[in-house]
Amino acid sequence: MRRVAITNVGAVGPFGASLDEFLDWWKAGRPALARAIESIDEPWLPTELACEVPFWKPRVHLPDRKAIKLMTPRVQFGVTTALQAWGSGVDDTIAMLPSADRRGMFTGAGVPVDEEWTFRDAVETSIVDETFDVVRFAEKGQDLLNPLWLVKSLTNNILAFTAKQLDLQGDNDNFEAGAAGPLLALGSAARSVACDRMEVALAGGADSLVTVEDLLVMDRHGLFAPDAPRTLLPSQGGAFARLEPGSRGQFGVLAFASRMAPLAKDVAPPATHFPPDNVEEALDLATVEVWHQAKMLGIKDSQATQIRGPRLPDGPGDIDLWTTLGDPGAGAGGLLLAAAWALRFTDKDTRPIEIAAAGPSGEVAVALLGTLP
Amino acid sequence: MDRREVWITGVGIVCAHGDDVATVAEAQREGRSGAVALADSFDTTHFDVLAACRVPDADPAIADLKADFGLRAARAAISDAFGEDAIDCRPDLVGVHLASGLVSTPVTEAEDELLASMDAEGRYQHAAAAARLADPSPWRARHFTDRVNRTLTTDYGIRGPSLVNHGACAASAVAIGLGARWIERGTSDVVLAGGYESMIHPFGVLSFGMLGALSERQDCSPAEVSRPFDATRDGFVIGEGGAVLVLEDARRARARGARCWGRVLGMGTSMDAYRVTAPAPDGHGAVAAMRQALSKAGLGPDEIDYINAHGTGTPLNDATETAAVKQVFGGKGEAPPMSSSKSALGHSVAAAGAVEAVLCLLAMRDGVIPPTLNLTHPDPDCDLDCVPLEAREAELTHVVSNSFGFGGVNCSLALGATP
Repeated sequence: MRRVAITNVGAVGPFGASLDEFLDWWKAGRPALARAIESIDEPWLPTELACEVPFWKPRVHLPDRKAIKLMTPRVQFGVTTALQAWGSGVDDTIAMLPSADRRGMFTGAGVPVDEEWTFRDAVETSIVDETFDVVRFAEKGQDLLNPLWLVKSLTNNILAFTAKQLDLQGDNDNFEAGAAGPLLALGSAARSVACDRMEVALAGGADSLVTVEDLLVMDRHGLFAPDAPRTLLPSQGGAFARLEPGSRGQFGVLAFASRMAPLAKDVAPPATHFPPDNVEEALDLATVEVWHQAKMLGIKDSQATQIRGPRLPDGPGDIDLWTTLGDPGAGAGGLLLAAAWALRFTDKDTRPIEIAAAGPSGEVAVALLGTLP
Repeated sequence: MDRREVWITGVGIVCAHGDDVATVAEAQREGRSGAVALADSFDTTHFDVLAACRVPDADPAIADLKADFGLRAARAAISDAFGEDAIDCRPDLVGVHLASGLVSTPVTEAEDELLASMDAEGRYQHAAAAARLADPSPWRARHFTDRVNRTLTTDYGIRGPSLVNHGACAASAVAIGLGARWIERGTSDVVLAGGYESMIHPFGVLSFGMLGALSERQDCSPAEVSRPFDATRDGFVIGEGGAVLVLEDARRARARGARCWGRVLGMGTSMDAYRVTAPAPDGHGAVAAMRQALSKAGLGPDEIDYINAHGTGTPLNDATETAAVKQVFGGKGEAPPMSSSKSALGHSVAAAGAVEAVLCLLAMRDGVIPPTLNLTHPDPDCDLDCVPLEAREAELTHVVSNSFGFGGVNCSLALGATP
């Protein structure tokens, strides 16, 4: 098994559209980023505040301008961060790399939503006598739909557009497990590089909860109510990391594990948008397994710095990102990678960094990053 | 560490032929189509689509039909593998790796949702929708695509890893391949792997139709619409269903006297995002996936007895896939027989890879290559032995199953017969 180094990270979020801006925010003490919502022009919104990517202009960040029309904002964020993680001189770098089939990519994506609300007009025109009329929908409604709705809604679009841009043809996968998804992607990418299937792999994820549909769902769950036990600040963004074979002393992936938290028997599906209450059991199991793997590598210091995803119980010494950064859905798992990078290279923290995240139904992923032994 | 051998010790399938393995095998042998009129599901005026491959007892009123298929297939597979409705394995050594697609929204549900959210002028109002806080099951939460994983882990006390894969039409093949890797490297002893999908509803049909992916043929019976590799093909027929395999460490399976349906020998995956909805014309992504699967399985091209093609029936896919198969296996006379199960069962999108893996296991068990139905005018660009019209008896030891998806995701599985 080969050592796996993390050699670069890209990030987009309410702090800005680059890793440098993330690090500036980090160094400034991680100040609050909530602002009045600007990207949604609707007369009614359940909350006035969100953490949006400021001044987002995809044409500035994405070289394939025709493809932008096929990308929802969350895909734009994901592809942008993946390209950043790959490196600034994309074309030059490709020429120096092994063949395309040795370049892989693994992503964590959010739940697909009709971000642009394209169905609304089509459905409205299909109401006849207070009933949804399928025939009228087909006859009149489809003219109002974006014909590429289905294509734009594919959850593997971050993977697809990045792969096309960078000519990645190797191992790949796309997980939908909320904030745990990008960590599942990290685990798969690390395995792929460690087993010598891939020479380089991108891993991470991006998402946006600042959409009409997301806000609606959250409001239904009472998350904007003043007395809500679990409040939520919708956010957007994500991050990707570049993984390559590493050597002793480099920053990299030490261990990874995932587990599923079962629903309590007295909780009838569907679960809410958030990890079930019994997520601690899965978190404990995955953490124990990660440290077991670390011990096999000779890592004895269990005093790791911990960073956990939104709504997970705080660990001892846990660093809180989400109060000021908001909750970017699946993007949170990606931003854990950026935070680990900041700890290591900005804060010069040389201890193992334990990152953990949970998905909406109890998927739990834990990764241990640090100095490769 | 040596790679552990992966046996398939249980199968569950829900498709247009039904949910009973024996019935599905019989339909495959007899070359029956599962297609029916789409108009049996809803009023198709202005839809320009004639056929669909509907699960016979599918109830469109079920809120999440695809999850229903997934759960039925998984429970059948568990029962098949363990002889009871329980998994005989340490909970933390059981994993779940399933695949799913987009939201499947029945009209009844959309209607309820939308009508309840309209104002007096018939405009959708977010506030009205949000006011329905008393609704215990908002539709989106109901459609979380990991719902099947969640239910299985809860009902069967599973404590191992659990993943939902989203790789479009290749998704469930990828789930099987990666599930097998968990067994190979010792992460799990038992893995439930497969996928489920239902898009036979107005929104799904319209979405694929607007992309030009569905056949618009009207001049024949529903059973004659799907025509993979035929010169007259013009698109696929939408299908639905689910399939789940119980993958198990072979040593453990032998020790408990489990039945072996077959073996997962290798998986190849690649990306070739030429366009989001189209493969590269030279098929290099498909070539890479097939070669990788053979390499992982330790097999040469001449050791493959049958290829279950992705074979959607779209003009582009079938020609590209044929070209890719030729690059790996040689031309006519060299390449093994290849057929498309989508000619009988339609394209069940995210479920297709798992459904077709089960069909491959049945083909190996029964020594019967399923036919490509409606292949009466072979396309000169699809000139391999595509097993037209009738099933063929043959001894099958090693097979390859291809699955290719939007976004350029390609997956090939190499499967082996019972040792």
